Amino acid sequence: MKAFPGLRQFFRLGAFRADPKEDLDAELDFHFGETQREFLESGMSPAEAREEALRRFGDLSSYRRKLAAIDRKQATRTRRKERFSNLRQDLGYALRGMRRNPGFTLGVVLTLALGIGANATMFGVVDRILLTPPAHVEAPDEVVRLQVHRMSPFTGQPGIMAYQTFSDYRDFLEAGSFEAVAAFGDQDVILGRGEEAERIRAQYSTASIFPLLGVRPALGRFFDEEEAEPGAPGVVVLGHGLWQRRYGGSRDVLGKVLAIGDGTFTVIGVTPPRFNGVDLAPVDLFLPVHAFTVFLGDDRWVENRGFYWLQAIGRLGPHSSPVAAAEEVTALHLNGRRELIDGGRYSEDARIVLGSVKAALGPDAPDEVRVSRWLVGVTVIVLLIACANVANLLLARGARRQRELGIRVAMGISRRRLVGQLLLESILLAGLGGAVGLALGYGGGHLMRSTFLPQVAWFGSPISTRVLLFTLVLAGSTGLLAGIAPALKGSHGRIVQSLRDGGRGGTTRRSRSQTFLLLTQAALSVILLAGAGLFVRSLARAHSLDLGIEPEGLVVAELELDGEWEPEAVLDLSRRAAERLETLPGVQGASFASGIPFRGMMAFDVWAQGMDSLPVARGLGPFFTTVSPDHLETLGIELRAGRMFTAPEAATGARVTLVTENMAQGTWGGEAALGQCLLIQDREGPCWEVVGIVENSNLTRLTGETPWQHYLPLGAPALELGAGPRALFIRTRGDASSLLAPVRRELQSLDSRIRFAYVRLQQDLVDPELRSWKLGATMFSLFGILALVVASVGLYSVLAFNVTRRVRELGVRSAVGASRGHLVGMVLREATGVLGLGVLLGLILATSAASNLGPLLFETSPRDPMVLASVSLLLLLVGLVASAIPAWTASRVDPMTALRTE
Amino acid sequence: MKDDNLNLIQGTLDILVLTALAGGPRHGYAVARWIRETTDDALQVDEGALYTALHRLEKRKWLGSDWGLSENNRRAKYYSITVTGRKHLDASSRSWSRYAEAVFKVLGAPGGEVTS
Repeated sequence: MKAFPGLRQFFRLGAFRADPKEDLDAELDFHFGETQREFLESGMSPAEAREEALRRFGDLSSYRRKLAAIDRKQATRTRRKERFSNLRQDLGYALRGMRRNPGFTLGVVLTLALGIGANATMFGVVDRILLTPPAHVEAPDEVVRLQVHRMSPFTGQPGIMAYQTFSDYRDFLEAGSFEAVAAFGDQDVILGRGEEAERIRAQYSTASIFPLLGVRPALGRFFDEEEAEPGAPGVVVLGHGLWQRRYGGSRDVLGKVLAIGDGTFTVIGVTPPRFNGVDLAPVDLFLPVHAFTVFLGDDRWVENRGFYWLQAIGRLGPHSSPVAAAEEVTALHLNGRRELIDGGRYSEDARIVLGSVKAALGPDAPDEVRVSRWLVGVTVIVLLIACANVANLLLARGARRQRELGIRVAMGISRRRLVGQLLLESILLAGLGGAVGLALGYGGGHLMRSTFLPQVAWFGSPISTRVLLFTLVLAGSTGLLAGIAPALKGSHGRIVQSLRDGGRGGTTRRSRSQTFLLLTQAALSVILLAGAGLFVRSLARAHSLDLGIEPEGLVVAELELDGEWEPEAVLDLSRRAAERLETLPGVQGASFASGIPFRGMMAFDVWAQGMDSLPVARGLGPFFTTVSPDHLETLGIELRAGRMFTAPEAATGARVTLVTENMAQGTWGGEAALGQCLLIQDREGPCWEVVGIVENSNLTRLTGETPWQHYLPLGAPALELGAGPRALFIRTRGDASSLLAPVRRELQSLDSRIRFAYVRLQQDLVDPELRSWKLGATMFSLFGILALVVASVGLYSVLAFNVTRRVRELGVRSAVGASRGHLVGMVLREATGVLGLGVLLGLILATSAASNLGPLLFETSPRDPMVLASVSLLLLLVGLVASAIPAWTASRVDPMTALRTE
Repeated sequence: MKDDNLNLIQGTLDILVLTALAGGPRHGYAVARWIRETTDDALQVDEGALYTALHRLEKRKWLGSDWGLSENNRRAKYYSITVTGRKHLDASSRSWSRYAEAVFKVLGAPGGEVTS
């Protein structure tokens, strides 16, 4: 009978898999052979026998097909089962390996978790601000922003302006390339009266914006063209967030009449959740554009071609090309401004550019958003470093496991399966890293949202489905990336050789891939640390910047007043308010002025008597502020020359002025300014005598030249210029924030016509200016230090591993007379070689990438030699510390023990 | 002649195959021949159908298979019944017997005779 049943089965599992088709042919051949033989023996002719055999079988080709189909299915099933059981085996094997080596596992998982966590955090941010179009916008690719490319009227620099005038918008309406055009502008307004009043963000928009975007109301309806006309009865659409928060999400809110600013508005609808128009900042409610007249008190903005406050968007028609559309609106824009251009007051070179509907890609994206874009690159680098490090650890471990792997190869495991096994291990490690990284990403996401990007409207958990998916894919590919080289190397044929020489690899030199990975890590670390250094330096410079004022301990209060007020009445009210506030415990002094530092400044046309025109200031300005007595004292601005305002000047007003040092220097060449004459608004008008020179103060923004300033005493002459008090300033002793509530209470109770007192810390107005550097400094430092730690751990482990591997060689050297110093030197030389090269590489990369970073830094060159030098030094130092232990071990090698390990 | 041939349903063929293999491993030709001889060629079943049953039962793990050498030293695929197959054979032959008994009872009952 049959010989060795099951033998083939045994082989099939291992060496080769038979082709089911061949098997079937053989089986049928045998069948027909036997059947024909039987019939031949019973006396049939060969032809008859053949025919009978076929007849008995039935339709041969149909049966053959059926049989083949069954066999194929069976083969697939067997293969799948086999694979599954292999996977289970490999998984168990990998898990056992991880448990056996907890230190290694922990190191790898943590390294990957940090890398993946950083990326999960930044992906969450980038997904919101860059990848996801504004919520509820249909076909967002067709929606574009119409932006003006020209000299900015604010900074005098060429650039792209997001803001336009209402007249510009009306010109765009003519453009046939667009299905629809809309305009909107944001403004903080006061909602409600008295105790209930709060300051919220309103968006004034044309009625066309809702159909243009394709958004549908969650409740009620949006306003239509008629309701957006001037003089139409006031209507308002509530944002979903405000509706939930202030009105409890009640449907009864429809028809309710709300007091907003100076007007009353009937609620006609509610937006769907997360709708903010097309910008990133949260919007509380939506008003028709002409309601802006109610806010301003007059409708000059409608015709004024200098009133830039609206952003225009359009939806491209189905057949219009963006280029042609841009040309069309440019022509319309220039046509509308023909008069200005002819008068030399507008540039003919102005062009309209079509910008993305995504606000973060636009010209007015905040610096924090720009820094965030850089941070994405940073987190990718962190992940690459983590990958390189893990790959290195795996390589080192693979080398240590050579013997084990060799045995497995000898036992007949296929190379493919071995590679799969090793990859599975690294993917498993990356999976664990991903899980921990997700937790880190959750925390990191919260931090980014609340601390660094609070001006963006955020929704939902930092770990969204998309972030989850991203992290999953990232973890998987990280595992592959980190594991592929070690796995290929580990499964290499040289294993058998390693078995032969006892797995000591006594003469093997450090592998090229390990050196390459170390180099990469060092170089990337330098880049990150350089970035960190630059941002930290920027932040430090910005912090140490002498603003000229002392924002700390300063409280700012703005009053919103009901009804019509004469300028004198406002001045009187301000005086009463300041007096009242000075009686509050903890208040050192109170004053008032026409300008709030870091909330925008005003400028008059000014001339110096005896000169054709004022020299052009390199910064902006000159800005002016009308001030109450003691206001400069309250802010902390010091006198440099001449005198401050006298008590009578300050009390009743006089035509005297104080100028800043830079203005005095730039206009009159310094102290010669004293006694000079400044002409304000009217070139033929009365003289404002310069009586004193005060220190420069940076009251607009931190970057750029410090603008020129001059101060006028608040009184009749100043009021004539139309510059009454705008805010109260309270200098406090101790904790200023504890005075916010008392100050507000005191002011609200002062006069029944005070609708709302908006009380803030001056520091809160300065801080946003610092935020982008804070973000850069914090995150770059965090990631830079992370990279440093990871890279030094990598260096340490590789060096330590090499020393162990070279124990025999070191022993021999020591036996033939090499001194300890020599052995230590050998290891250190190896370390410095790799480090030095890595640092050099990193410096080259960092300096070539630097120029792009420049605009985001503060008074710091992106190639700051101090930063680059100290970063290089730091890396070398840490690297040497990391190699100290392996070097010490090397010097301790006892020749006898080393040779005995033979 | 043809009308006397029993129309075989699939389940029956399975039982026949399992029974043929109950005594020990056989190759496909031997199974066919066994069925032919045991039933005196009364069941004119396509041998192709027989092979289909063998392969199907193998896929279902009621049969196992091995390659071996036949009596005259040719490579042949030997089928053998598995434990699951044997269990199934026992269960279905019991229900078959009950079914056949019932049919016989009906046929033997008064008034049950059919005239054509």
